[in-house]
Amino acid sequence: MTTSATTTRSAPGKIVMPLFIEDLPALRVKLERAERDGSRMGQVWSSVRRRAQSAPLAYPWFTPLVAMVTQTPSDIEAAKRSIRDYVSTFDGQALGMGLQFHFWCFAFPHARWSLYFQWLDSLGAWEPDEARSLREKLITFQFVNFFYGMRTKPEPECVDNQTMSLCFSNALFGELFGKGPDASPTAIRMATDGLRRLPSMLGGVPASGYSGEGSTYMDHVVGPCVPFLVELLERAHGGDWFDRELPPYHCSARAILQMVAREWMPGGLLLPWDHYGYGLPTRSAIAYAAHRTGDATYHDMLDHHADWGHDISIGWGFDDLPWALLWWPEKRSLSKGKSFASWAHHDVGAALIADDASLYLFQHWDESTPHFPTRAHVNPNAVTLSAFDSPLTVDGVPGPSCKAFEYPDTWRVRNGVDFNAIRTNFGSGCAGAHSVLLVDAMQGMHVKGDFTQARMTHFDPGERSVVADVTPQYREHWPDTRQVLRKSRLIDNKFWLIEDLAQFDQPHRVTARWWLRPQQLASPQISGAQPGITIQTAEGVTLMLQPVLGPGEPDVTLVQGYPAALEERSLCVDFHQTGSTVRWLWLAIPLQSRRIIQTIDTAWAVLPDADETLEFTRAKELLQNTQSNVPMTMPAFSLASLPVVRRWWYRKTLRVEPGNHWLRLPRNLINSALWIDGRPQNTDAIATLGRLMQPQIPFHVAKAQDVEFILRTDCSASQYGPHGKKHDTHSFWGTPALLAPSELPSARVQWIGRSLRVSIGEKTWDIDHTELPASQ
Amino acid sequence: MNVTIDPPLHKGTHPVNNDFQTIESCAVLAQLKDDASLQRLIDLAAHASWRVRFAAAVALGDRANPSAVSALLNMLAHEDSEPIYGQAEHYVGAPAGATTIAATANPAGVPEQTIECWRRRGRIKQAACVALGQIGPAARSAVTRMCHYATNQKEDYAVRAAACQALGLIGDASAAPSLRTATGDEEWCTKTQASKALRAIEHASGL
Repeated sequence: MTTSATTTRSAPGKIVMPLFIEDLPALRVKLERAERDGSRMGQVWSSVRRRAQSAPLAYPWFTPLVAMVTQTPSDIEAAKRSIRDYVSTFDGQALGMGLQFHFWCFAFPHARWSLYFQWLDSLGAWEPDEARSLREKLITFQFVNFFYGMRTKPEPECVDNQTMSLCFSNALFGELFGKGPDASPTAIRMATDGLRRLPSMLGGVPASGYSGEGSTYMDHVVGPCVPFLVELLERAHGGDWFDRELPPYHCSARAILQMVAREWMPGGLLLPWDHYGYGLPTRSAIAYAAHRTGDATYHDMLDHHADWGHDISIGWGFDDLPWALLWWPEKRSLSKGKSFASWAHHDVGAALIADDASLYLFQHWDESTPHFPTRAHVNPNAVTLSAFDSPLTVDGVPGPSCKAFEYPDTWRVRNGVDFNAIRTNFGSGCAGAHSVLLVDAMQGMHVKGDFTQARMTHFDPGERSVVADVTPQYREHWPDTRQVLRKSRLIDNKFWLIEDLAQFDQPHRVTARWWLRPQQLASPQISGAQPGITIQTAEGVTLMLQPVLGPGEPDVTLVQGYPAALEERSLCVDFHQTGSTVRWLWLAIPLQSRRIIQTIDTAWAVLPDADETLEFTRAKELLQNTQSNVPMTMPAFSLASLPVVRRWWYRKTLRVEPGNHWLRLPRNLINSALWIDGRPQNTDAIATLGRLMQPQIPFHVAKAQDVEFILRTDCSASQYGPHGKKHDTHSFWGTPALLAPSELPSARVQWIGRSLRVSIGEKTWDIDHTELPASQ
Repeated sequence: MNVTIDPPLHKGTHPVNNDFQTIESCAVLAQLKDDASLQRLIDLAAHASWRVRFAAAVALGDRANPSAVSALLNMLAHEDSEPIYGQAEHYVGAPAGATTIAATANPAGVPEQTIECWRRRGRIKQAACVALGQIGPAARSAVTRMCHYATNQKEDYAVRAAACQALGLIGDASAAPSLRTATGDEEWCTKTQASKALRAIEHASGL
C-alpha cells in the first residue's frame, strides 16, 4: 500500500482533489485502524476491500474507494475498468425504457461514476487522451439525458427524490468539469440550473423532513442524496448547509436525515410507510448524520442495528457501503442517545416505542396525494405494530397475482411515460389497504381535494400516548362526518391500548380494518374482552387483538399475494359497527412464544462450492475435514480470505436438550437447504420471508444429544447478473441462534368505567383511560 | 475556458468527438450577444447531429432572442416529421449505472438514423419548447403548435409539460382552453405546468 499525498498531479499544471474526500491519508488511516481493531467499521471495510480485490468485475461499485485507499496498481486498474465498462453501456442504454422514462434513476449513478472518474484523475491514473475521451462522453451523456431530464421537473414545485437526483447530477458536473483552464461550458451551463435548484431540494421538503414518498424512497434515494447536496452547497457557497433551514418549508438537511433515521424500526426493518412496505434500510445517510452531528444515536444504529449484508442500491447504484465508510466518523461524542425513542411530528405521525425497543407502534396521518395516491398512501391513523423485532401488521404493495385492491374506481391510464400507454390501479394506495376505519364499505377512499387532511391533537412522550384527528379525509366523502379520531397508548412497555371514535350526523356502517400477519390461532385469548383475533408470526410472536369496547366478531379473510413480502399473504380482519357514533377500544397484547437458548454465530466449518455441484454426503465429508471456520453472520468471503463464489456449505454441531426447538438462521439466505442430523428440513420459509426476517426452522429432539446442522446456501457474489441484468445483491446477515418454546402467560381484562384492569400472568395494571370525547 | 467554435484537429489515440466540441461551442455562443453568434446557433439548430441540435436549442433559449423563433419552429416541424416515438418496446433492460448490458445489435432492419430518432425521442422538442417560452410573448407564433403538444397524449410527457410551460411564458390568452384541458393530464409534471401557466395567463388577462 502506498501512501501518496491527498493532492496529486494528474497532468502538467493540473492539481486536483478527489471530490468529497476531504483528507485521503486520514481516510486511509481510519479504515486501516478500524480493520486492525476489528470494529464494525473495520468489518465492513474489510468485506468491501476483499470483494473489490477478489472479484472487481463482480463488485464494480466498490472498486473506486478501494483504489483510492490502497492506491495499488491493480486496484486502480480495476477501478478504471469499472468506469470504462460503465461508459461503454451508453449507446445501448438509450434503447431502454429506463433511460428514456426513468432518467432520474440513471442520473444519480451517472453522477457518481463521473465522480469516480474524477477521483482517479486526481491520482493521475488516466492517460490524457483517455481522460479527455471519457470526460467528453460523460458530459455529453449527462447533457442530453439528465439536463433534459431535470428540465421536465417543474421548478420550484417539484421536490422529490427524482428531482433531487437530477439537480444534484447537473450541479455536480459544474464542480467536476466546470472549473479550471479546461472548464467545460456545457458543464457550467448544466450546473447553473442544477445548483440554483439545490437549496429548494432541501427546503422544499416538508418541515418534518418526510418527503411524502414513502420510507423506501426516503431511505434509498433522498437520504443518501442529502450528504452530496450539503457538501456541494458548502463548496459552492460556503457556510453551513446542514443545519440551515431553507425556504419554502424551513426544512434542513439535519431534519431530513433525522427522519431517515426515524424510519428504522427495531429489528432493522424500514417502517412500511406509504408505498413498498417493509424493507431493509441503507446506511450511508446515517453515517453522514453521525459525521455531522456526533450524535451517539447514529453511531449506535451503525454499530448495532444496521444490516451490512445487503447491498440495496442507494440512488440506483451499489455504493452504499463505500459512502458509509467514507462518511462514518471514528470519534464518538459524549452525547447519549438511544436508536429508538418515541417521537411525533404533527404533520406526519408518531412512534411509541418501549424503553428496550421491544414494542413499537407507529400511527400514520401524513398527507395523501390528491387524486392519485401513488406513493403517498391514504392511511388516516393507520397503525403499524411490531413486537420483539417481529412485524405484526402488514402494509405495502400487492404481488402481481393479487387483485384484492383493484377497486373499480381506482384505475388510471398514463400516456407518454413508457413506450406504450400504461393502465394501472392505485387501489393499494387507498384506505382499504391500510389498518384504518372504513365507512360504508368504501375501500377505494382517496383524497380528491386540497385541504389539511389531519392534525395531531395530543402527544405525551412520557405517557406514550398520541391522538390524531383525521376528520377532513372522511368529511370529503361523507359531509355529515363530525369527527374521526384514533388514540394509541403504550402501557408500561408491555401492551397497547388503541381507541377509535367516529361520529356522523347519520348512521353509517363503519369497519375497523386490520391487516395482520397470516397465521391465525384459536388461542390464547384475553379473558374479559370481546373475541377479536389472535395471530402468531413466523418469528413466534403472538398478538391478541381484542376490543374491550365495541363489537368483536370479525370477518377474517386470508389475502394471497399481499403484501409482496414476508409470507406473501396476510389476514384482512374487519370488525363492523353501525351507528352515528362508533367506538372501539382495542387491547393489543404481544407475547413471545419462543426464547433464545444460545446464539451460535461463531466457528462454523465452511466450504465453498464454486461449481455448485456438491451433494450433501460429499459436502459433509469435506466439512468434517475442513480447517476453515468462520462466523455464519455474513458470507465467508466477506469475513476471511476465501474465494468469492456464490454457493457455500456450513456445518456445526451443538449439544441440544430434548424438546421442540427452532434454529434461527441469518436473513437473506438464497436457494438454501438445511439438514439437521442428516435429515433434510423444509426451508420454504427461507425463500421470501427470509429476505426480511431471520427464518426459524423448527425441529424436535427426543433426548439430549449432539445435533449436527448442515446448511447449504447461495449468497450474492456480484452486484449485477449476466449482461448487467438485475440481480439479487443481498448477502446474508444476522446471528444464528437456537430457540426453545416459552410458556405464554394468561391475560385478562376488566373495564370499569374509566378504568381498565389488565393482568398478564402474575402482573396487573390498573389503567385510567378517559374515552375520546364524543361531540354533542 | 478554452473552447473553439469549430472543432480543432486532434492528434491522439482516441477519436475526436466532434459533436462534443460543437456542443461546447453552443454553450459558449449562448453567452454572447452579437448577431453573428446568434446566426451561428441558428445554423447549428439544423445540424446533422441531434445532440448538437439539442445543444443549439438550449442555447437559443438562453439567448431569448425573437429572431430564433422561426428556427425553433423549424426544428419542431422537423421533429414532427421524424419517427422519434417509433420504438415499440425496450431493447435493453439493464438497471441504471450497470457496467455491462446485453449486447445490443440494432433491431433487425431498422436503420441507424431511426435508432438515433429513438435515442432522442422528445429531447429536441422539449428544448425547443423551453426556448420558445424563454423568448416569451415574441414567440406568439408558436402558440398553436404548443397547444397541440400540450394536449397531445401521443407526445412524451416531457414535451407536454414543456409546451405548457412555454404557453405560460408566452402568455397568449388563446392558449387557455388547451391549458385547461392539460390541467387534467394524468401526468403530474404536465398537470402542474398547465395549472401554473393557466394561472399566469388568467392573471395577466385579468380573468
